[in-house]
Amino acid sequence: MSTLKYSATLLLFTSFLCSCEKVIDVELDPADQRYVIEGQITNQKKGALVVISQTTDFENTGVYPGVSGAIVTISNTQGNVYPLMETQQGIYQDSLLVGKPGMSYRLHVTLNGSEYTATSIMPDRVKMDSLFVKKDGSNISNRERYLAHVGYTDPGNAVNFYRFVQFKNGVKEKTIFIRNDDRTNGNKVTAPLRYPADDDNDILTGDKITVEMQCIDQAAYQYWYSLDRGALGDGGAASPANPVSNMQGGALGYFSAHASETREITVP
Amino acid sequence: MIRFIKLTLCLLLLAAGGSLAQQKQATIAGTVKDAATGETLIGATVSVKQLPATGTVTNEYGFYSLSLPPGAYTLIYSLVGFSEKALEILLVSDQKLDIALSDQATTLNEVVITANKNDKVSSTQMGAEKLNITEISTVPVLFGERDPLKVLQLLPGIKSSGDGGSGFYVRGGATDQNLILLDEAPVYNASHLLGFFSTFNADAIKDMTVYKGGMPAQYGGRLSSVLDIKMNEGNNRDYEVSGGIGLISAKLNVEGPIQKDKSSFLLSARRTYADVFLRASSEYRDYRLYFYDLNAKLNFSLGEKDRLYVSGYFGKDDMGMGETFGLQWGNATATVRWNHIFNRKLFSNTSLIFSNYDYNVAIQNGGNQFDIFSQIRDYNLKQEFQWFPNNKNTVRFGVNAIHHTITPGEVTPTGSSSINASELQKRFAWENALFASNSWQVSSRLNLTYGLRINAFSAVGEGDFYTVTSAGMVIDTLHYDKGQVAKTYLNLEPRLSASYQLGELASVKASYVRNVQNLHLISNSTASNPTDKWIASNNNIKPEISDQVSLGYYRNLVENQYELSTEIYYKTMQNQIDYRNGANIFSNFDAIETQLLFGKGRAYGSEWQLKKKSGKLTGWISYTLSKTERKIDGINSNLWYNARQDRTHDVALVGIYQLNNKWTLSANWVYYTGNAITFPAGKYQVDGQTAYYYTKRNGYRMPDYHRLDLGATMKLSDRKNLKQELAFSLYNAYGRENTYMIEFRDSESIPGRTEAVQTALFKFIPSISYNFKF
Repeated sequence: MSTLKYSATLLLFTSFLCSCEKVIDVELDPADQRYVIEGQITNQKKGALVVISQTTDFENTGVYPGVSGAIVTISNTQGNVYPLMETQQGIYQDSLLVGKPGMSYRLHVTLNGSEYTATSIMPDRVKMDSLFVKKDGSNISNRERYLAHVGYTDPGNAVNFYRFVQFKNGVKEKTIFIRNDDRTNGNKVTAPLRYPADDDNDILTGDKITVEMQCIDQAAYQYWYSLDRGALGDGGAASPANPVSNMQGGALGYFSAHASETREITVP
Repeated sequence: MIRFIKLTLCLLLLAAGGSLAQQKQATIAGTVKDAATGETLIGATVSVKQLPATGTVTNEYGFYSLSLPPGAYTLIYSLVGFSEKALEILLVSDQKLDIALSDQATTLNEVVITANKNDKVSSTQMGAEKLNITEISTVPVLFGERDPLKVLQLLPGIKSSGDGGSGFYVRGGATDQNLILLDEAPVYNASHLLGFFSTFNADAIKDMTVYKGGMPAQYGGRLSSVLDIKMNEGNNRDYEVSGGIGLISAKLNVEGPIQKDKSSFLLSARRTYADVFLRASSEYRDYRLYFYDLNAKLNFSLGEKDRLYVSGYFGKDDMGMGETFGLQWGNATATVRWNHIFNRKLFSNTSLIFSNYDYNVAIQNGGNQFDIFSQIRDYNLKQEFQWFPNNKNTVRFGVNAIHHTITPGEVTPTGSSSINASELQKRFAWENALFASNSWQVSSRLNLTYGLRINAFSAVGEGDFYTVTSAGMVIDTLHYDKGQVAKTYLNLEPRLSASYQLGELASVKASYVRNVQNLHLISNSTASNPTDKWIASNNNIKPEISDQVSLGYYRNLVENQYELSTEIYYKTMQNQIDYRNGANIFSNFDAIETQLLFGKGRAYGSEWQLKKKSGKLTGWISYTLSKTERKIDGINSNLWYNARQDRTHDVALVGIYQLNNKWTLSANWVYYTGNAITFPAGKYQVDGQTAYYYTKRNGYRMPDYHRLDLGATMKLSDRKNLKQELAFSLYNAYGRENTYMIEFRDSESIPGRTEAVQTALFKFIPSISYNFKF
């Protein structure tokens, strides 16, 4: 909920007298490494993709190397099993497998003698009616910048969850954009994709904006929601915790079957 | 009910039994008042020179009753800050004796405090701290805004929730486990400006007592403490205007007689004006940021035996940014009280209390504009009797009925919007209690107070109630009609305490208390937030229960100049609430219990205070060593973990020095172990961005907190009736950057690295304010 973010901004503003930031040293006890499995299947070609990596110590720099040697399959309720091949280190794909809305999919990963599984049902596709940009009307950032808006018509007869992924000139925006239809069931919705007011990510005239709209299931929504609220390092979260995951077997990550649609515009 | 009547009878018989054994007695009763203003005085001691073991203390309305065998006595009336008054009487039959005590300090801000007999050593109550208004006004505080709640946090066992927060932790309890009463009305959110100030305007406050343990039976409803705040009644002799202008706020207080010596009024108001400065700046001109509050009180003497008080509080905060975002919140309370003296031995008070807390969030995001409104509202009736059967017993008994209405959230679209109007179900509950207690002077040294509170909490319709599995799934929904009881919890809360005098100078005390809490605050942020949610017990959410034993030793030193007190406590807590990982407590969802987990808690510690009570230099050192843990299934692998408010060491040093008639200097220094906090054990990548991996809940500590504040008050020369002063303060004098929060993020300077970043709120904050009184 955006309320809290606004109040946090105000809170910091309230204390404009200092609100001093300082990088500090914290001694963190290292933990055993865990596998991180990110799996997805979409209604698009090349949508079946599984990325396997590992946790690393906080102090370590840089890369999160992929984990090779896993046996990865996606199966559906009709009993078809599709093996995914490792195309790069830690990346497993099947470029022909296209998912169908309404179908239930199961991810199965065998790695170093352990098994990890997850199930996800691909929701029906909700069409993206429009993608457009509008000047950021709020004065939070006090700058001229644009926000992308996605228009869609929420079906009144279903519980829907959405995730939007925004790219500016090919660079992915880090903000997690998710929505449910708690308060918008059955409505024509215009969803602004509000991103934080950092100088270097402002959308300006001439930028090419790409937005993918994903119709996700509840488990995926829960995952992204709890990741955003508790696992991205935000100091205001009372009890940071690992996100709620549909993955069984002790790995971090998620498996999401979603209907996807992508559009692109250039900011006038 | 029948059990309660029986119990009351037993109690009364026991008390009466005590009196049967004695000879015929006569009763002296009356009211103790301030000679200058006519304000009744709470907690004044009435002692008998000839019978050192006999005595009483005035109640919260200044009333006392003392029964003695006929004879000649010298009665001594005393209270901190007032000159002692001795009165020779020849007691033959019952008599009424109203007393007026003169203020020692007739000036605006006198601070020389003399030792008084009514101290921790001789009082029979344990676990209680009383704050004196003089102390409140001299201790330096943030922005020079005198704040009783901030001063309270300098006492042992009471811990500040952090920089700028007016929430506080008592003996390991959470911030919602404090019952905060303003003229008997519960205040649900005692903070202004997200906790930087409290809702209590020092000018309007007469008396403030906090109970950390051994709570008397007339109080109930929260686990950890009771903070009982009484407002001034208003001067019934003369008109008085006082006020102050500070850097960020101004205040005004007007009081005076309506009819001299019979009735009076008080009106106290304050408002911050930081928003005026904001409007002047081009960058922040659309920001709104202010609060105001009003305290008002009327009181009438209706003849010899009756007195009527009407008091109210109203406060509002408003912050926002143009039309993008707005948040308003506030408390409103109203209390009507009627004191009736049936006879010299029986005092009655009837209170009708209203209490309301609400907030409204206005959001405009893209084309969507909507308001979210939430509210908790109480109607409350309290009838209490105080019976003074003889000089050995004081009996209190009564009944309390509260009706709660909680509006968890109403969403109203405003303007054009794709948001639907929606409303979470309103929740209704009855919270009824019967209580009785007797304070029994067993011998000249031993005093026993025993009592019982019976608490019945009923969640009632209209509404849907859910059957929820341990995994948080709703498997059944039952609808209850209006007024139909869905679930009732009956709890007995025994209250026991004993005090034993070890000679003139020392005493030991022990107590056991059980408390029950049926309203719970759910918060998912580290800072206290006005939008934190109050929820009531229901079929899934059980009452929180705490059992506390405590033991104390008190001693006066160096001819009563110093007072040493130490208490140890052990407390267990049942049905503690936390939310599930990834819980969305702000979702548009009625069954909030699906997002919650339940478990238990324990807290123990020892508290020390050495207080210098008289002389030019006064103040105290307090130290608390404590531990607070929780164990909740589903969190931290079901193992015990440190509660957020767990702090090992907590130190406060307060000094007030009267330099001369013109200058008073003050300083306080606090130090405490950082709060328990969860840090990551590692990191990984999700969809191209860094996420953190967690293993242990609250396994780490924030950096230690320490801070020095300095203050000075300069009295300006008096002009006729005008008294004025300038108060200077320097908050955080040595500029310690205390950690407000710690964030983990990708380094901007070194790609691929992650770093921990701490945010501090305050460095030095100097302030100056001007106060006057005429």
